[in-house]
Amino acid sequence: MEFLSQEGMSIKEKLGILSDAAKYDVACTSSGTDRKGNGRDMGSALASGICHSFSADGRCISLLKILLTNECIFDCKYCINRRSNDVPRAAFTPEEICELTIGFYRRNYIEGLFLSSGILGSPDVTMELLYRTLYLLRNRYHFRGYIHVKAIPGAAPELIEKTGLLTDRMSINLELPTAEGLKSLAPNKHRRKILTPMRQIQSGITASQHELALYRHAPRFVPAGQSTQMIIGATPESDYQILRVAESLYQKFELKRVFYSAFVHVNADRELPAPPGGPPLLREHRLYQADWLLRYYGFAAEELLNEKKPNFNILLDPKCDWALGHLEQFPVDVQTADYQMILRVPGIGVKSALKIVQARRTARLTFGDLKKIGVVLKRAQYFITCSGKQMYPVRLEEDFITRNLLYEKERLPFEKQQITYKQLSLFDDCRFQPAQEKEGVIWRSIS
Amino acid sequence: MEEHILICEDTLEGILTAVYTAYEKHYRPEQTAIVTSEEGNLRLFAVYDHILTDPDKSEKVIRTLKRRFGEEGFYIFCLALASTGADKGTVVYRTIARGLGLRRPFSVFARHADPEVDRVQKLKYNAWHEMHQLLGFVRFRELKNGVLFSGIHPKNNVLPFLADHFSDRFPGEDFLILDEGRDLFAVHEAGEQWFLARNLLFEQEDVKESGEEGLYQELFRHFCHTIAVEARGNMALQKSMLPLRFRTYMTEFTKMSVESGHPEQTEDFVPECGNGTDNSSP
Repeated sequence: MEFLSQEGMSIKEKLGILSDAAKYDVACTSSGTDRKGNGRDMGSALASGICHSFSADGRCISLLKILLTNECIFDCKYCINRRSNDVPRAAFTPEEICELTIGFYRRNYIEGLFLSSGILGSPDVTMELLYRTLYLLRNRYHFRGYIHVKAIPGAAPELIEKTGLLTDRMSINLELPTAEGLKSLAPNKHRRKILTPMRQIQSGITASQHELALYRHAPRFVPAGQSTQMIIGATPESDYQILRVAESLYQKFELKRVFYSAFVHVNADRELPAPPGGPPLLREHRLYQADWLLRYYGFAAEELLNEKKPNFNILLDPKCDWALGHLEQFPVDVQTADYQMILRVPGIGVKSALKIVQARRTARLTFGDLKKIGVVLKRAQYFITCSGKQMYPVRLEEDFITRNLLYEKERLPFEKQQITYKQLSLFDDCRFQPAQEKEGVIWRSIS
Repeated sequence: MEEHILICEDTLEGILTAVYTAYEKHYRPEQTAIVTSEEGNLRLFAVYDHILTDPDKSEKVIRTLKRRFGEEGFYIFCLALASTGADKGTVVYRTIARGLGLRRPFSVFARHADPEVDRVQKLKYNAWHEMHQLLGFVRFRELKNGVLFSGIHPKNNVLPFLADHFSDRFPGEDFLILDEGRDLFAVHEAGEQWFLARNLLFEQEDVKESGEEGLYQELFRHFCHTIAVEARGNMALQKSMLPLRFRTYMTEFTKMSVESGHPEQTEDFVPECGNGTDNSSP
């Protein structure tokens, strides 16, 4: 493998620059396609996806997430790669990307490739390069693993069509929830140019599915569906607006996923906010919670938020919040309530709701059974009855339940722990230090 | 009424032979236990039977399970039996007996309120989860002769499931996965079926790493480092998603590999990232 490029930049330096530039893209899922090995070529894909590692921010590393190049003719204010930034620039050749992907994949470092790019020259030129890379990877390197590629807004429909037949998932970032936000922060992008290819991919997927129903070996167009991403907190939209946008993307564009990315302040720009507490992680978390409620729990955006209450409760998760506002629908009896209603009980998720409806066919469920099934009784106890009885005789009052729910503190994934624990061993270093000080080594290099 | 305790080998074949025996002798499921090791305290009113593993008998049970419970049901039993629970033989036997008494045996898995069925599901989940983690966490190193080598140390006996996955994914590669705790190898030759083996001997020369290996390791470490967003740093989340016990075997959490890539040496690597044990400057 040739590891020195024309400009004399080593592959390691390039990988550093181009993975660093790609890291703000949150999608790293490898799910949605089930593809067994063919007994000859390397690669397979699992519908559930596989996480191969976890980085120091706790996010999963599943795909080799890189940009083809971080050179860009656009000047989006929030983006680290914008034209007016003075950052080191680099570009991979398609062959280099293929070699890297195969080398990593063989060692089981990754589940596949996530390829994005800055706009090099024009959208068409960039899309053509992405297509060539994927073509090489699939046809010369015979790679059957997972590929997620970005569609470049403004690229020719034929290029997107050709690329879609080689990839598993395709995505176009919506970037900002509203057209006004996009106009103010990304002057070179237009909402229409983002939505047009999104629509094209959607109809491509539908057409491909019809074709597959007729011919089993018909080529698959974007089999793992398309996704998009919105930046949260860079523009003044409310949670309600964002959720409405997400809902219409799911309904009108049949997206597989909408990702929310808490705004990370990387560029000093007077158009951009500088949140004092770092990225708005709690807000992002609440949006993901609500997103799940939309996709799996049969909620509508209007039920969770409305014009009068445009933002999420910071103390309670959206489902608890909804249930407290609709106490007249509770308590429900787990033995008789229908599946949709059981799903709406705080503390019961999709898995436990399914188990409840299965198990109650052959048994009269008790609170003990529910606990074993995986129901979080701490939250669910106020809203359900077993054989007509509550777990404890409590009043169904909003204030009372709210107080109790708040007392049982919600566990959030991004709360910093003060003390961490670790198994002691006789062979450990004897220069002991208090655990708190060790937190300081968080960002030390891995290498 | 006397209790029967069947003692068998801790393998799928061993336990299924015991299941066969229990059925053959018409032992009542609720008064029968299948264990894989001698109990410390022998019980007065129990009859102990030592079961010799018999491939013919276990094959018959496997056939029945596949026919009555379907491939999916059989898979659930396999995973449950690959777990570490001491009661796995007993609960699997009782679940099989309960299922075979139903018109559609697979529906036994819907009886979540039944303690034994629930236990089988929990054991299955436990083994499945560790297997699924390892599908991602296994790291291969390329040796001089082109063979891919990986060491793991799982709690559950998930090696066969991993071998299935990787031989499907890498049909053209020669690879070895070593379960260090059980001293068991999964061996796959390009284009062949994989098999399990014990006590493989290696020439010192064979297990050296290939020339490109160090470079790829370095690249991946670098990638894992640059891909994290500093402003979102969250070591606690990382630790709960990727427990420390896996990191000993993972490229991105170990130092540059030593010249001789002998399998045993993987244990010498100190996990550097995340637990903060190493206070020397990098």
